[in-house]
Amino acid sequence: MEQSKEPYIGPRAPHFLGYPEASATAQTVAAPLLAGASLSLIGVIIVDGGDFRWPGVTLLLVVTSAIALIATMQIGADARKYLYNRQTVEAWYAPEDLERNSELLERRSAHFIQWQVRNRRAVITFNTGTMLLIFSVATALVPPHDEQAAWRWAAAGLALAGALVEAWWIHHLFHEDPGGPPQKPKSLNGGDG
Amino acid sequence: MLYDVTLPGNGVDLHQCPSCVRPFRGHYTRDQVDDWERALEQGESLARAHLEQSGAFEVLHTATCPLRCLPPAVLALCPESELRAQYHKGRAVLGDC
Repeated sequence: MEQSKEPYIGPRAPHFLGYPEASATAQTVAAPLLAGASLSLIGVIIVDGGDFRWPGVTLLLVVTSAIALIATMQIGADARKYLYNRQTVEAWYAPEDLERNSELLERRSAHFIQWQVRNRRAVITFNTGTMLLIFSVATALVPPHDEQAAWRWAAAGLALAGALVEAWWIHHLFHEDPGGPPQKPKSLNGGDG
Repeated sequence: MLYDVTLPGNGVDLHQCPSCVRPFRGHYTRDQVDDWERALEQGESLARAHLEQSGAFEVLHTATCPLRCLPPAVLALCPESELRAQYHKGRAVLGDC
């Protein structure tokens, strides 16, 4: 039998099917909360600047963090409009519309790629925002004077360690091996079939 | 394990082959697709060299995946009709790589 000359090309989908939801959670739940925390910290530093060792540096870090996290929400929302599955297409268009306009499903493929490209920017701003927030917390904790200095240095050190772990985690996520071919299951009787 | 801990870091750049759904990782741009098209125009040896350099042979496709002779940038960034066109162009120049 002659092999078909057209390659099989399936629908575009994320490799981890839960990834879009996980990404959306980071952009619509985590980012607003962390942005709110950044904005609160800005207020505290402006009012009580004298209680911080480096109020200027801390303010710069936390303002940049807030901007990055707010950008995450906006870029993520912009990206999200490109992500939908076949069910959504079928909910909007009757079968006869889909037959008449075959480009609707082709457009979904192009839109998925657009979502990946735009969502990547939201991911970068989110990771940047969280890193800057942790650094700003570390600088805010540095004691301005000797009172309880040891405890505050320990807390600042812990925050800095958290920042390093976060940086390692982000690096790991960007370079994680997605996994090789599926392992052939071993036969129970020790044979091959 | 650390992987089970919920941390706010967010991963990205994971794609899968639209034919054999094997995963691969990387950040790709349309410029890389254009580079591939230019390499195809220049003939088999340059196209083959481009495939090598692009990391196409590092993607763990199945042995019979029809898209294994395309650079990862094409797999990641080309919608279906463009992907089919790239497949046929690649086959015309490289045959079965």
